[in-house]
Amino acid sequence: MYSQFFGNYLLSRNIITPAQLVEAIKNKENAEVYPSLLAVYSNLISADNLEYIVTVMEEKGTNFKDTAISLNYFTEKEYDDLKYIDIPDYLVIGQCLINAGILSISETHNYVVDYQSDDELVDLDLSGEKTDSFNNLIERLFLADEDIPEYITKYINLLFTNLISYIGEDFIPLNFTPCEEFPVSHCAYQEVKGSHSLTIYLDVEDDVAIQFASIYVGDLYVEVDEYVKASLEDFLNLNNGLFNVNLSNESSIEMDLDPPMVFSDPVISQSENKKLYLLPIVYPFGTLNFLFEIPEI
Amino acid sequence: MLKDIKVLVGDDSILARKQVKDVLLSLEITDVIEAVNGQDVIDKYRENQPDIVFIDIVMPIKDGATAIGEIVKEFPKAEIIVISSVGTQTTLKKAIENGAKDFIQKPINPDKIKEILISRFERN
Repeated sequence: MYSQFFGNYLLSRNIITPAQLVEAIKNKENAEVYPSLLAVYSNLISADNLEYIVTVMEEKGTNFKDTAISLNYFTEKEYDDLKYIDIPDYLVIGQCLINAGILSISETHNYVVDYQSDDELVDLDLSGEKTDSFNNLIERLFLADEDIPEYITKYINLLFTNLISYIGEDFIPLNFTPCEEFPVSHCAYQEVKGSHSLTIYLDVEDDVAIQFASIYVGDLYVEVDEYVKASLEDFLNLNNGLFNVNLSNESSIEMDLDPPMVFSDPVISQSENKKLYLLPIVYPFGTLNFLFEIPEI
Repeated sequence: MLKDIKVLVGDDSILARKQVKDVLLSLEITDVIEAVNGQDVIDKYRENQPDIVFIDIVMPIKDGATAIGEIVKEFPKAEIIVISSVGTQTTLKKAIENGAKDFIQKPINPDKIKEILISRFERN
């Protein structure tokens, strides 16, 4: 399961707001998943069982562990074994939403179950049929309301893969939305030319740029210097180069690439006959704003 | 000796140049010249005549493939290695037709650079 998309799944169903999700992502590093949520997640108890346990806990003033054991829902050893469960990232996000009072444990569990059953993808093997499934997932979660060329789906697929490889898998993409103007902070851009053309921008705030470069390059940066700025251009160039390679290998489509550049205007504006879209990618260290300018269909 | 060779690194990205220089330094190669676009690579090749060139393809002013062609026309024995994210068949074909000797796909793999240098300058 792609843990990155649980947040987007909740957003697309208007269960949470983007601001609530961003806050949850920020709190993720210090969040500990409750044993009660883990017990439901690992099918030790059902969501209904949990509701009953909570009622008894409130009546008797006892804790979750003692109450559930006294009601014979599980043994002490089974409870202790919860410590060794691999906790997926989306469960931590769920816990943060519980902590913020946005979701209850049983709601979180139900959404996790729905999310898992909606998509059959279980890992990041993007070969063969799974690539198609992944593209379908992207279209359903991100592009459902938009008339977007198919190659943009493939581009986003590659972008997510490269973010996972070079920055980390602990990101959550927000919705892909039309955008007429976008004020920039530190912005790099690159133009992909040919039949599948697009201009892609990457804009970040100062502190995010520093964190991004430190992770991407593997050096410690403390200020926005020329290396930090170059890291944004370098990442775009890497992704766009591989996009061109994939188009060439899979579809015999040859594209050209302009050198990546610093975008020096204060605002990115949608050009004539083109559409501009914003795709914010939220990491615990901050948000990467990717903007796509593509020809109008 | 490998550590005594002169290397020209042509890439518009200061980060990519640093990554290549770091690999060269790990091999104790310190005679490194940097160029920031295709024309700069040609000018610095003429000026320094390095033992080997690592060059990007997508660069401003003059692209890497064109720069390779101009250098090889003037210096037929030039050892030029392409380091690029754009490893498409067309790009590779053009670079090789123009005289490139090898290709490294970005992101830069230090071992691949080392392998190329050792095979050319240490095993002989």
